[in-house]
Amino acid sequence: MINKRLHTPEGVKDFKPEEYAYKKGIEKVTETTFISNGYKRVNTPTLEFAEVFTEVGSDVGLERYKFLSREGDILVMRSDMTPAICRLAATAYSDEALPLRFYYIENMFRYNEKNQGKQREFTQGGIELIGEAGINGDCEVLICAVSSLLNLGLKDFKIDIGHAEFLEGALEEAGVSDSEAVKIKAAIIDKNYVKVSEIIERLDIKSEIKEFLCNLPLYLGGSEVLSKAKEIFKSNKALKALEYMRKICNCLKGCGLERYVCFDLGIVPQLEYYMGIIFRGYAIGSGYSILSGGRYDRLSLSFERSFSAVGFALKIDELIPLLEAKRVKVKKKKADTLLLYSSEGKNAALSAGIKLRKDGMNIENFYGEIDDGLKYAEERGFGGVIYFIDGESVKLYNVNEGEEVVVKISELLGAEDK
Amino acid sequence: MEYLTFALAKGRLAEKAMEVLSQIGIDCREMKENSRKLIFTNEDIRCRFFLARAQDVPTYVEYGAADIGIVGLDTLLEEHKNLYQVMDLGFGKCRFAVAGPPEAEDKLNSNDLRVATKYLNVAKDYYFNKKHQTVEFIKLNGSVELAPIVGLADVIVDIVETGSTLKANGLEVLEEVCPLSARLAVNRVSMKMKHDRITEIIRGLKELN
Repeated sequence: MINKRLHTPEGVKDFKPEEYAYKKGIEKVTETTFISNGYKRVNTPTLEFAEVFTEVGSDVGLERYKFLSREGDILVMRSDMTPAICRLAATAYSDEALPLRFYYIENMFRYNEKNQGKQREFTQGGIELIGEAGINGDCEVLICAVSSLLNLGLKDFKIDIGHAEFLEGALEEAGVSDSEAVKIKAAIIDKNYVKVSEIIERLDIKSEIKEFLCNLPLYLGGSEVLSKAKEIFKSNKALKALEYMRKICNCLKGCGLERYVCFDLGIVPQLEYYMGIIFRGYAIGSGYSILSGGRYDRLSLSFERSFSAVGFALKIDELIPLLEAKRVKVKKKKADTLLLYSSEGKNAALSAGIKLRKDGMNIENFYGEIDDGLKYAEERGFGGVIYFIDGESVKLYNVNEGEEVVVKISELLGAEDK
Repeated sequence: MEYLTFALAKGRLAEKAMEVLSQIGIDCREMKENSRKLIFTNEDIRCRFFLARAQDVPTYVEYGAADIGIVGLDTLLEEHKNLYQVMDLGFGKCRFAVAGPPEAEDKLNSNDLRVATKYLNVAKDYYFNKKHQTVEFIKLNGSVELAPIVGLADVIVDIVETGSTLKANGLEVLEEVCPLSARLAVNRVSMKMKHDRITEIIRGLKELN
């Protein structure tokens, strides 16, 4: 038994000021990347009707927090921003308003497995590009994904790009029956390639294709993987998907980003609404993916509209330990100032404090003797100390340099004005 | 170059694994020396190795503490971690089976069957999803063969290699659950980020088979 009063539930946690500042710093950099790409921030409710998430063939039913409202509706806490933004776009914007560029940085809620080191309340920052079909939209979003990681100071990462229709086409071309195809795809989602091989070995299909399907995990890499597969497959669907990935590859090469991506021919969409490209970002130092996205043109049909859409989300919480380990400084900490006063200086100090804070200084009050205040400032990394001697003058201490100087209050306030 | 880290299931499996790996040029002299070290390094090929309890190998791989794990399918099935299972290594062959005294045969399909096992997830999957049978499970931590002998359970679900332990205790295999062998497991991120080196290992091992 635990004393619940002293603990938080599984998968949620507190952030202390320095931890929270670090996380906010990551969010700030991410946000700047999104804004600089022309995306506008939206916010959707934390609670939604279950139908928003469940009628789109997503499979995270058991992973959602759901409950009954007083009115008897089943509500869920958002587990993923994409359906909510799609709903917003479908209901609040006409076709003429497209394309739309939205970004968000919000907390999501999901019953992630216990003891996996994964949080159940976690932050995602992402973009959705709505109404820009095909290669332009896909490349824009991929470039934005790469930039967002680069801007955070990451270098050792790869975005793994696949195409939802490629494997579909490959299995069709091989003449694999629907029921076998379902089993193969389930085994791939389970990452169990031993099972994939076992199923494939039993089938009576062309040896070249058999060899390919039994070695799926090896078909990952640069454009050479696409060329290799092109020699094996002849069907329209598979070739079209390969051709499309080639175009993406050329575009990323054109802007010098090809080293950050690789192509994966063994990708199967885990969510029904994905079609076209699907991608995930990985970085050395994190055992989990740090980014995921793809094209989901079909999702809008659930909201009685038809528009194309593509987007991705960064897993902010997975990035924190990764960036910390690499000692990436996301934000220069602005040195704080400590404010002290004698009883004669009190009124002047408090009113000057209001003015100086308005001018942008971060000031913490200290209620005590000047010696204690200086010690406190040194221990906690303050940049300066302002001591109001009386209603006329102040003593300024530079904590790092150990210098001090007495000036008139009017000079202090005047100096800040400049 | 980043290290490639191997987690090996302690015991015979690890010995066999190192034997097979050495055939494709991956070895570790440090490991053969008797030492109290927990982690062994071969700087020449930038590889690190450590031994762990079989049940913990999938966990090390899932978190990315190890890039590659060599562990039995029994453990992978029981732990069910999110990782790549890329290859059947072909050694450490055995099977999961339902075993018990010959008279338990009549009770095998009944719903009041009591099953003792160390492998609760495997046993549940077998009865609930494959046999569609509701049974009672008893989780034990070792010497599972005792359970039917002393009347704690009707049958056991366990690993069977030669069957000699069963025989010596008057038990026999009543149903086969699935064949088992050692597997090569790979972390999700390593699979992408260290793809070239891992591919080379997979290709090398496949050629040996």
